Amino acid sequence: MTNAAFIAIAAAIAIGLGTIGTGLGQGNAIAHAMEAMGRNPEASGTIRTSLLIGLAFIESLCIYALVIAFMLYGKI
Amino acid sequence: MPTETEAPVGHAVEAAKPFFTFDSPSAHDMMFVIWTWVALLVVVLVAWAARKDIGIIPRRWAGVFEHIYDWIADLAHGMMGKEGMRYVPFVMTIFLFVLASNWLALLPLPVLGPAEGEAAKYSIVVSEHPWHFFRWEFHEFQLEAPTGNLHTTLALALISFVAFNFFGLRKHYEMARSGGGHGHDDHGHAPHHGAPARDPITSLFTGFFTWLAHFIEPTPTLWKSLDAPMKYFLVPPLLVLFIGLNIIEEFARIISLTIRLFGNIFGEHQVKFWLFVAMGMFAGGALVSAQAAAFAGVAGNALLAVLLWGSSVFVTLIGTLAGFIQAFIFMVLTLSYIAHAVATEH
Repeated sequence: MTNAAFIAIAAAIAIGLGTIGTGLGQGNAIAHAMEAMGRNPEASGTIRTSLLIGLAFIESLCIYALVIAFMLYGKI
Repeated sequence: MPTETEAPVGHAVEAAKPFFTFDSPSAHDMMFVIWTWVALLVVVLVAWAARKDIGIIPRRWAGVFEHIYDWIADLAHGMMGKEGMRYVPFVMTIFLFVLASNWLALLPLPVLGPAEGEAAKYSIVVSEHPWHFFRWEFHEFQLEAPTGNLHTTLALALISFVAFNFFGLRKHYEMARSGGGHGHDDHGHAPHHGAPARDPITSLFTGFFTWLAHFIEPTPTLWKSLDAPMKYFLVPPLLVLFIGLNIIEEFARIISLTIRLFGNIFGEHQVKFWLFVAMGMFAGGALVSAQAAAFAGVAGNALLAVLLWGSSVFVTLIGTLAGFIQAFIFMVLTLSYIAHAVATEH
């Protein structure tokens, strides 16, 4: 297999594996946030803000993998 | 590279390759700078146009800016108490600039400018300009917003880094100057007098060393919470570990801020761009190629083209929310790093 083939496979695996953990983590965060909002509807605003901040943190881990995938894609 | 055929008595010295070279910036890089100025002008002009709306009851645009200011001030209060108000203008500036440039990345204007890389294959040449500087090409959706470039986001992250370190140093200087307590705490009580107030030069040094001491951060708590013989063995290696971790965290903050903002904006644009390119292929295929007609028929190709176009519009709308959230996250993280640097346990 050529160099380019390895790089292409690596780019696909990078972003693919990166999104698994992100999906699980964000689903977990949203589930708990929804439960909290259900128990305490008055605190929805605070919970929503904290939820969005937490989601962005988790998303950024996937974005690291995405950036690596783009860098690899540029080198094919 | 030294050749293997000749080997004089002293071996040939390889010419040193430079670590990196400064190429002159390409025209595409120049467009990023131009769009940075566009983002700045957008913020400044909207703020300037809002001047006459200021009043006891602010009207439209001044109301928007006041709403943003109050919202950031609430965040700062939640993190730092009353002295958070000092840092709100700086953080708000960062938020407005990042928001403006994230939203500028979404504009579906057919931008006249140079196309490079992948985008060049999908461009239609309109005119060959006599300048040799660059060739104007008509292309869709070339990403030229400032935050779509690693350089701008790195610059913003470095600004945050310098800012929170500077604010930490200044806070420790002021604490040393006023003698061991903040000037006033949340309720405006008088300062503690743990030590006599110092002159400026001494407090510069004292403040600097107090600030350096926060790099050992979890260790004092650990020291207090462990028992007598064990803590002398456990804590010193943990001290070294914590100093290393804190220093690495400082750099990890810069890198994570950079890549989070760049990755969101660039990735969002790539999705939109390739959906639009695919739409173009199907739309063109419906009219031009017999193979595409055999694939799904003209109507099928047209339907696919419309669906892909709808997807790219949908991605653009999602990108509005994502751009806002990323600007908010950048602002909140900068604010929390400042709060961490300025925190005192008195």
